[in-house]
Amino acid sequence: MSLTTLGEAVVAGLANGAFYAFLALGFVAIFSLTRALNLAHGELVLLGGYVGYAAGRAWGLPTALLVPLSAAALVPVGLVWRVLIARVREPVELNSMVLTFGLSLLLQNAMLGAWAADYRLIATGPGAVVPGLSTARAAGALVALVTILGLEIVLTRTRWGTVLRATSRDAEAAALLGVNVDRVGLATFAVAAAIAGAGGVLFATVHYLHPGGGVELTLLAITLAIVGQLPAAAGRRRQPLLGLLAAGLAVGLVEALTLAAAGPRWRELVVALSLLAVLFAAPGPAERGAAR
Amino acid sequence: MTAVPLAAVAALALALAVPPLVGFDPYYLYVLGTGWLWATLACAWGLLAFAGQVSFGHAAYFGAGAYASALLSQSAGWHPWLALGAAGLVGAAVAVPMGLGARRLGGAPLALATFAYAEVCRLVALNWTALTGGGAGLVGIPSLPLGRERVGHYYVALGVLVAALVIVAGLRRTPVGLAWAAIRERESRAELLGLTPAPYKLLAFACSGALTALGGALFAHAVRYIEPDLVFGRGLSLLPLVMATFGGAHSLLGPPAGALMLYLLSEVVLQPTLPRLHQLPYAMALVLVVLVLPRGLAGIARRVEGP
Amino acid sequence: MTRRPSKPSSDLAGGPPGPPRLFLATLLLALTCLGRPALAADPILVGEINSRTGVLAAQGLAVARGIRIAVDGANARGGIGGRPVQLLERDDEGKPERAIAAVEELTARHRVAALIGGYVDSLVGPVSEVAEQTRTPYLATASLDERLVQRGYRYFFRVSNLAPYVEATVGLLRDAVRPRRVAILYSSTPGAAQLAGRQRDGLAAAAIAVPVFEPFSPGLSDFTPLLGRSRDREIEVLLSDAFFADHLLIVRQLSQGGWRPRGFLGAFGLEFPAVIAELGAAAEGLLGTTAWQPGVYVPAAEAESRAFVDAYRARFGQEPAPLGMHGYAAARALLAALASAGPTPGGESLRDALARVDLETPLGRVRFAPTGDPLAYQRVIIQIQHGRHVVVYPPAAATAKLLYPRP
Repeated sequence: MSLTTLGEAVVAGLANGAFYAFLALGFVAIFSLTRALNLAHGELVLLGGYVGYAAGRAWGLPTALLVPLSAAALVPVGLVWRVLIARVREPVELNSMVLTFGLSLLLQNAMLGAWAADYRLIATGPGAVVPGLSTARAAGALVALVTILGLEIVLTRTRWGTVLRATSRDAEAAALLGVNVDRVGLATFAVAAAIAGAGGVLFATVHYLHPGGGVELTLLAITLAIVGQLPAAAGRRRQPLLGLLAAGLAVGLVEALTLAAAGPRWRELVVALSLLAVLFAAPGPAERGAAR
Repeated sequence: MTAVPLAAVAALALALAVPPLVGFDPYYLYVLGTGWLWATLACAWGLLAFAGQVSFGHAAYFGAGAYASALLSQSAGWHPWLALGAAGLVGAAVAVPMGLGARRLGGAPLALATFAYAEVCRLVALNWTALTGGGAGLVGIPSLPLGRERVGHYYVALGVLVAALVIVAGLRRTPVGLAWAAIRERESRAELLGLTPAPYKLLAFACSGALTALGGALFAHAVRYIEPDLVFGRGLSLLPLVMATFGGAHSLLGPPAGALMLYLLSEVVLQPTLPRLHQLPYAMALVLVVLVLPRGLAGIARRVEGP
Repeated sequence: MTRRPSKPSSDLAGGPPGPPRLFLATLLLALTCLGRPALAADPILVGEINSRTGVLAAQGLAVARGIRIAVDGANARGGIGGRPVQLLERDDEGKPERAIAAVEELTARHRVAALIGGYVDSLVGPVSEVAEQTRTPYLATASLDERLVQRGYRYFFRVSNLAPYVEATVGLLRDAVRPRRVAILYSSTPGAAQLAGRQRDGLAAAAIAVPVFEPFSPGLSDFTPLLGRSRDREIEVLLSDAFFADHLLIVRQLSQGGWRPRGFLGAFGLEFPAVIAELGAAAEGLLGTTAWQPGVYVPAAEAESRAFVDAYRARFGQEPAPLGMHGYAAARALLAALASAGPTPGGESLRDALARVDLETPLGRVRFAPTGDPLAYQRVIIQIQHGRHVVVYPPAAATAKLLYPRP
């Protein structure tokens, strides 16, 4: 493997990884606030992509405009999700999975009905920023980094962020302190859905849209959410989103290096083994049962 | 020790009588036989959930059982019944690493680890072409010597389900079952009371793995064509979870009842009547049950019973 | 959502009576729902299993529509011996277990005379197992796995197989392109894996090196490291034994990246009009294979080919994809067999009738070997030039000159 290829793999891996973390953000937000596992996350991302695709084809808008458009379009959907998930009772993890699994089927069928089973792409310009890193991927990575770092700052440095983190830890206590927990919940779900929608448009510039493609995205989000939380479980709670970013970058890097060095045959296996290694090697008290 | 409810006995008698009742129609026997198979998978998953361990990776054991039985009977020339039994043991063995891993991990990390583990199993089957045939899979697996095809499979599947229920019910009544429940409810307190959770978790994984693997082996001999995506597929990890939760994850008969209901609802009612839209009522059923009955269908009984 | 202290489960005490009653109720409900359908004496029932949803839906729908046109045509002409042919359409959702459920239902519940359909072998294989067990002739519309015709089964037939793919792709490289180094990327499905292996053997015999030979699972979205390796090895032609969706990604990444191979040859899926629609200018110069291309390549029965296109356009409002002809030709063969199989076609008699079929269709001559393999299936190489598909190899069928290196 030449040095060029190695360098390209590293760059591509980091860019992909940042984007993976971005794609997982919506899932993580909901998970952190409510402990609910949104198995329809992938479908929400795809929905954002499809809305962008449709708008682009219908009105000829440039791709850059499609991103905020989809983000806005998904906000009402996020609110619906909030209403439903708020009604889930113990055991929250299992019940939310069944609920959102049902919702994912509904969304899949809706997208299939609206856009059929064809594969759709959102057009991007040709050319690469660096060899091995297309403009589309670079844009996705850039949006990802800006959003994650921006949200990190909001969470840790602003009052709103403190309110949100407090509500995630203990909603009852937050309510007693005068926090409007309902509004926090609505805002969180709205933002989560918006980010998913934006991610969908960017996703369609590097991959394709197909109604059945949500599962992969959801699995990626679950993986990153759980791995990203490991440092938190070990007691270091200060940077919640940076853990997610690190997890994403790690996955992207491992994937790209394996591809470049050994080929696609080994990609999934290496990632799965690495995942196991990370999970079992992580220091800190093992989580007990369903308690956080 | 309560007596086995009369309703359960009646259900069993009815199940045994179904083949002659439907005139040995192969389609009905196939549908119900597959329903028993899903019920077994849900029961096995539920066993693990009863012990407080949530698994996202039961496909690992299903696939291991399928491949073990297929390879033993096809390539090694074992008698299919023997291969079936061996497949159960293979399933338990494959579950051991996860059972040991449960000492270190719990909750979400453990669930993710089980998922990664199932993926590893699938990829091994996919890449170890010399042993498993790789992506092309195995063709022409010998079937179980059961005479009139569908009837035999029906009874074998029913038998495996009954055996699974008896084993699980039996274990739940013993101190092992109490330990499992204690681990599930509040592991730290159980430890304070002198319980070492590790061997119990291991046992739960091994039992769950063995039963699931038996299901996989049955499937392999019935369908006679397996490949990694079919028997290590993610649906096999997700659906037992959904079915068990739908029925009531921690109850004994909830998971199999939930599995049977969902499967029959989909196969017998929805698919024939709404070929394009069959997923919609299915999804609505899931959504509604979760919102109305958080403990699954078993929660109906709780409501009826009162406080 | 705070955690409340959970109540100790009451299910330790032997369980509430609810679930067993539920069990019983479920069973009774199921039995009442399994109402026996009245077996209609008049129509001939044919089961059709294709992917209508899932990852292969585009391909499955193309095949299903081709079948539909043929059956509708036959019924418009009075059916078979005065009896209409009724297609029972089923969706396998791209999942083998659904395909199995569909074939079980069609054979046992509806007792169909024959089965038709299918696109990949992981779906065709299990269906063929059940078809053989129930002695229902099954005509697969697209199947490559060679093991399926090596089982000694009598009830399995197919209109396509692997060898023509190998001949066309290896032939093109050996005769017209003559590269020194070729990369083969293949999807880890049975058919694609076998194709890749045969291609490598064929290329080795033609003294063409294959330094990159890689399987990949579906779901891979970033091929750039892999393309980088191909560039490092100075690959001239990239052979992609993958499906339509994978081609979309690879081609787009090729156009966005720094390296362009001199040739790109995709074994499956590049003959679809949708390739040009979705990729636009990036599709120029891509090479693919086809067995029938409306307006460009028709092995036989040209009038029938035009009639098919017209009927398809009238019925579905779009141009037929080439895969639709597999469905159409297979259905025509099946209909011919049904007509010659006697008064109550099915089972052994229909199987023998299928074995005797010898029919000219737009797909070529449909005739089966004793193993069920087609005897006259052919594929040619097409290229996308100026936004259209043209045939470039073999020379006898070519309608345009091969553009190599890729413009």
